[in-house]
Amino acid sequence: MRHAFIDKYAYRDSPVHRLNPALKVAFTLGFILTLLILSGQFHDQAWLPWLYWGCFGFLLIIIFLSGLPPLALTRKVAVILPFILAIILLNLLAGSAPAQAGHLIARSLLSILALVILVSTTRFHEILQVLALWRVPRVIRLTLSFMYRYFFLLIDEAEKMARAFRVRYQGNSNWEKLKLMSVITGILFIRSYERAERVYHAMVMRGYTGE
Amino acid sequence: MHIPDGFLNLTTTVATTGITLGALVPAVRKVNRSLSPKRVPLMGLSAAFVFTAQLLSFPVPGGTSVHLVGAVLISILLGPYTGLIITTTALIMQALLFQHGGLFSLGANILNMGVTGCLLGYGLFRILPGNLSFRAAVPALIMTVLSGVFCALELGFSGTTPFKTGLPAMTIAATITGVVEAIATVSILSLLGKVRPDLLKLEKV
Repeated sequence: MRHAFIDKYAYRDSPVHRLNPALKVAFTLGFILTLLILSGQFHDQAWLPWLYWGCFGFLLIIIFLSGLPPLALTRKVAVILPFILAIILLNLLAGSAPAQAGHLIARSLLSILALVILVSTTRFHEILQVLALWRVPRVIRLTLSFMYRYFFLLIDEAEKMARAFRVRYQGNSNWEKLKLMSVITGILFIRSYERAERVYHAMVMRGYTGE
Repeated sequence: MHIPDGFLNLTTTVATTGITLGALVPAVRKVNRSLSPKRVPLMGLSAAFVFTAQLLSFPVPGGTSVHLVGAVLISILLGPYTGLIITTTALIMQALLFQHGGLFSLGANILNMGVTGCLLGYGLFRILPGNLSFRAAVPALIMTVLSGVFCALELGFSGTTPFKTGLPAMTIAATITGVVEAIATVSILSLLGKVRPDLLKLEKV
C-alpha cells in the first residue's frame, strides 16, 4: 500500500498546515495567475527575473515554515522536467531559438512548486470544503470525495491482478500483454460497479436518502 | 499529455477555460436533473476506476508504453455528461495528487481529453453504423488523435512550441496512443459484453 502515503505530508502539523485552507487555495491560484499575467505582459522587462527570484525566495520561506522535506518536494516538482525538455527539443528541431524559454521554465517551475506546497500542507477534505464554500457543484464534489476514498482500493486490486498475471505469463508478446491489460481494466470496472452497489446498500442501511 | 501550469499564455488559458465551462455547466445541469441516490456512489467509483485506469501502463506492440484516457469508454458505459464529469474529476485528482497537469491548465486539459472524448466521442459513437466494436474503436482513435492536435495547437498559439515540429510530433504520439486506446476500449467492452452484458445497458446520461 505504497500509494497510501501519496498525501502524507498534508497530515503533518505546522503554522502553514494550520492556515485557513480557503486562504491557501486562493493564494496559490492568485500566485500562479499573477505569474502567468506578469511573465506574458512584461517579458522584456529587466526586473522580471528578480521577481522570479523573489517569488522563489518567498516559497522557500513557506517551505521552511511548513517543515516539509525539500528533497521530497524537489522530487514532486521534477515531474515537469520531461515536459520542459520536450518543449526545448521541439523548439531546437524547428530551428527557432526559444526566445522566452527562461520565462517559461521559471514560471512553470514556480507554479508547480506552489501547487506542490498547497497539496502538501492542505488535506483533501479541506480542499473539498473550500470547493463547497466557492459553490462548486455538489455532483463534482461528491464524485471527488468518493474517488478519494476508493481509488486506493482500486489501485490495490489492479496491482494484485497485474502481479498475478506477470507471475503466470511467460511469453514476451506486447500484443498479448495489451489484451491482458485490457482484461484487467475491464474486470476492474466490474469490481468498481459491484463495490458501488455494496457501498450504496451500506449507505441506505445507515439512512442515506440521496442528501 | 497533461499540460502543466505556465505552458499556456493568458489568451489560450481564458479561451480553453471558457469552452470547457461552456460544456461543463450544461453537463452538470443534465446530470443533476436525473441524479438518483444510487447513481452517486456509481459515479464516484467509476471516477476512481477511470483515475486508476489512467495510472496503468499499456504496452505498445513494438516497444514503450502509454496511458489510457478512458473518456470514450466511460461515456459509452454511463453517458456523455456523466463521462465528462468523471473525466473532469479524474483530471482534477491527477493535478492535485501527482501534479499531472496544473490548475489553470485544467480548462485546456479537460477540453483536450474530456470534451473531445466524452461529448464529441459519444456523438460519433451514436451516429456511426455497424457493430459495437467498430462504433467504439473509431471515436476512441479519432478523439485521442484530436486531443494531441488540440494540445499542439494550444501550445503553438501560446508560443511555447512551434507549429512546425510540435504539431507533427504530438499528432504522431497521439496516434500511437489512440491505437492502444481503441484496442483497449474495444477489448474492455467485448469483455463486459461476455461477462456482464447488463453493464452495457446502464442508464446513460
